[in-house]
Amino acid sequence: MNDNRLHVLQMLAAGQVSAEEADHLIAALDKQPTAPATAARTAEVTAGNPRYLRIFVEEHETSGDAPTKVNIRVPLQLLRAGVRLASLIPNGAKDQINEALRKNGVPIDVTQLKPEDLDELVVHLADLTIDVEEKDTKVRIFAE
Amino acid sequence: MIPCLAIVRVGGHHRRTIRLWLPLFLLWPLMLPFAAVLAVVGLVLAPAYGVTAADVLRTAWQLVSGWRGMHFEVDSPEGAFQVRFI
Repeated sequence: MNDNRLHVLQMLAAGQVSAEEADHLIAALDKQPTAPATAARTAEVTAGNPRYLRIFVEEHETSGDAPTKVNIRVPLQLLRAGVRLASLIPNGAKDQINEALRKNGVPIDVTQLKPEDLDELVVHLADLTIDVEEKDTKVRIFAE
Repeated sequence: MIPCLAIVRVGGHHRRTIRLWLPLFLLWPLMLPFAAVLAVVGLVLAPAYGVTAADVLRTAWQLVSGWRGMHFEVDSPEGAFQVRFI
């Protein structure tokens, strides 16, 4: 039983409202979800489908000047489009790309990139927050 | 939805700030002929590479519309630069 409903029943017990008025009040409370529940539900829906990748970088200068700040917001739709673009690359070209990446020390297999995997990754990004804090530098990466 | 406006801000802490609103919605119609040519080329070459024309068009649309909401900002003691695609 939530607090609002209990308060209405207490008012009814104290005779401050009639039974009919208490019934109207409880009906009105049942129609409208409580603010924390609404906010929680919104957060839950938003968390399940993040739309942007946010990157914050703040670097403090040793000379005492104002810090350098970088703020980047990348739509995840653009990342999805990039993965789809990779799926359109012919297989022969993908092999050449993989070879070039390997030579440069990047162990990524372009042939394994699939849009479905990215969608699943994006959903889990909602729970991911990366905070790196060093002496003069702060980096924060998260999805929203 | 493709981005319709780009806002560019250049300035600094001790400098005048210049803010530009670039109407991309005027630019897209000018790009239509080039987009049409690229679309035809893509549709012709797609089957040769084992992809469907629908995939090509969908990917192209997502690449263009994915820029909406992009926000890039750098703020340093020497100056500030900001780009937003709306």
